[in-house]
Amino acid sequence: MKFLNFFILYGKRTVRDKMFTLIMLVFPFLLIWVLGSAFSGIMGGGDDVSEPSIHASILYTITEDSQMSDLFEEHMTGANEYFSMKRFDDQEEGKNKIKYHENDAYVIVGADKITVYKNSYYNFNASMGELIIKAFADDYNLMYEIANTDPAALTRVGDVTGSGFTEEVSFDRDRTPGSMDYYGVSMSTMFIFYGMIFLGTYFAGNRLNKTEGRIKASPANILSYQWGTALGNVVLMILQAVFIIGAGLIVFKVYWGDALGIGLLVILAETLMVSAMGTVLGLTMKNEGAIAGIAQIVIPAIVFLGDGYVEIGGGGTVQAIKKLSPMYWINHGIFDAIYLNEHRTAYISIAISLGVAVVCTAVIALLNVKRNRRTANA
Amino acid sequence: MIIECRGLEKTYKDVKALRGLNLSIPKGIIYGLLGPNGAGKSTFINIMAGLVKADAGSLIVAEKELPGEISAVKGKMGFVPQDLAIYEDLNAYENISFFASLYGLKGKEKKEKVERALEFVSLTDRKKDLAKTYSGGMKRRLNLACGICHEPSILVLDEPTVGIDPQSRNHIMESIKLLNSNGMTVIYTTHYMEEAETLCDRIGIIDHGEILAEGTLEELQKTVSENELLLIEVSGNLEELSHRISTINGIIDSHIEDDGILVKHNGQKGILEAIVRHTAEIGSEIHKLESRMPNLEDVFLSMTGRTLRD
Repeated sequence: MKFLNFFILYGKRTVRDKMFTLIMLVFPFLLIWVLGSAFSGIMGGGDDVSEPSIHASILYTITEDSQMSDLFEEHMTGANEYFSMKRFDDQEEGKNKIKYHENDAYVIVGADKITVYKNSYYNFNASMGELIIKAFADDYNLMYEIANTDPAALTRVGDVTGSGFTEEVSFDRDRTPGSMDYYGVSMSTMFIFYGMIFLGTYFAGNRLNKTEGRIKASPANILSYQWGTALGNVVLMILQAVFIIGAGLIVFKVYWGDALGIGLLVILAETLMVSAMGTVLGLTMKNEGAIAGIAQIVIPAIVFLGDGYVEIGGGGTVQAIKKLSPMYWINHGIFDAIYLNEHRTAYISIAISLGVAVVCTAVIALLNVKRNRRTANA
Repeated sequence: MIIECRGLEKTYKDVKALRGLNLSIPKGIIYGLLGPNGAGKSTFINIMAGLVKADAGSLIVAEKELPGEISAVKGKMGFVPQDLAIYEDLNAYENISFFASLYGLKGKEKKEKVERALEFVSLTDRKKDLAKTYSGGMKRRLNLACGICHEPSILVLDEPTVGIDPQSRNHIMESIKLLNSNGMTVIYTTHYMEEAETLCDRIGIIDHGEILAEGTLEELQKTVSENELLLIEVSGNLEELSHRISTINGIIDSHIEDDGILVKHNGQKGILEAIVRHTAEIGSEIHKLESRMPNLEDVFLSMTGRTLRD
């Protein structure tokens, strides 16, 4: 099995590389600690939404026409820089839209009760929506009480506390990600992208130091070389991720809930995608410097757009671009599984990652066909 | 013949690397392919190793036609590329063991052959050290060991002694002789005439992708031996003297070489006296006068008008 020889060789050489140890094992650990500590004050929990700079998108349903629903529509549905309201009468679909974070909050306005559904994980916008509704309810409570006891006093009232109208319904109200939880997951998936550089430079390095020529001159099949090496990278990246996840669980008490299994599946799909991309880079780029250069632009962009360091706000265009980042769909797949007990996003993430891996494999096959025309290798 | 090639052609973009190369190499010999850089030696070797596909012509190695039957030939061939094709972050044992495994060796057999290869290139004592800690000569020897560990019947070496110290060069050349004495056919490319002269049973002189002459050293020498050579070590104005000598009747060529003048002549009477006379006329003094047989450099020069180093 010459395949295994390449598999073992890649593992042996990569593990001996001090840069690998530093980048893949030490850096993620440090970053979880540094970023987790630095952002601990502004992440986690629904109570500390500090800067409502994000535009909240809120759906609402009026189940019964009443004075409250009339006032709700009158006061809440106007244009506002902080939120937008949209009537949506399908209650189940409305809840799903919050689950799958297509909108930030969903409000059901009854005759005498307002129910707010929010997504705990995406707490900036969700809490923003909740606060808006709460403010309306507080005002309405106050006016309602005063109007019942002393209608004339309505004009003199300026302050009130508490509300008996609102009820918060979070899909996982017991848990929202703290900064350590966030970066514990984020760093586990982020550093796998660097496996692309290690694999790409490995292939290019073999070509430059002429060992590839020696391999091609041997009876070993070129496919066993490519697949053995790429799968060596997959295994190494999985082990690296397991190490980071394990270290995160033990040292930083990173919360994975019941989603460790599905999280590892998402990561496995990610490593397959990254390894396929790394192989394409290694076979197409002329030298290691070019690969490192590309990776140093592409990976930070993927991480930044995918909310790897901090959640990025912005309008529809930014949000649309964000969805192109593999890190976005990978992390959201895992976070949804952890905090919403919702696996659909994870399955979508796995499907996309595997899809990209398949496309890259097709490119590799084409490159091999092209190469075979130039050389005599079978 | 273990290798037979006819009309082999290869063009890289605008450069014709091989122009109808014809070559026949008998089994069990050391065959030297001698030519300057860019002559087409490496292209031929790479076609043999299956790394490059020829545009035209035929190549038969060990009775198998390439490239179609390359898979059947690869296991019988050992390939030692011009560049150091080793992993610097592995030790010598690991390097040889890895390449041995690509030829299907495993277990005890692999271990024994790896140890034998290490011993053969005198690296047993350093087998556990990473290759990056080796000297240039040691790396060259490791490069050789990786190509012979599976004990091939045909060994292809592409300029294996480039840039190394004389001691390592001698070691490699002795190793190659030993391998050949055990029955291995060796194809050896070089642009060092001395290596080809001392090592090879037959030599093909290649330039611009063509074989210009081919045979044993003696056969090649005979192609220019009708002319005699005089090497004159002389002081004074060498250019002036060389020019004067070239005007003497019977002189075929006269040019400055190192500290003297190399004169090719047809053996006509009176030439030596004329040279002495011209030397005296320009006030020069002859220190040494040597008549010698033509070497491969002379053969190449006579065929191309250029030296191997040009």
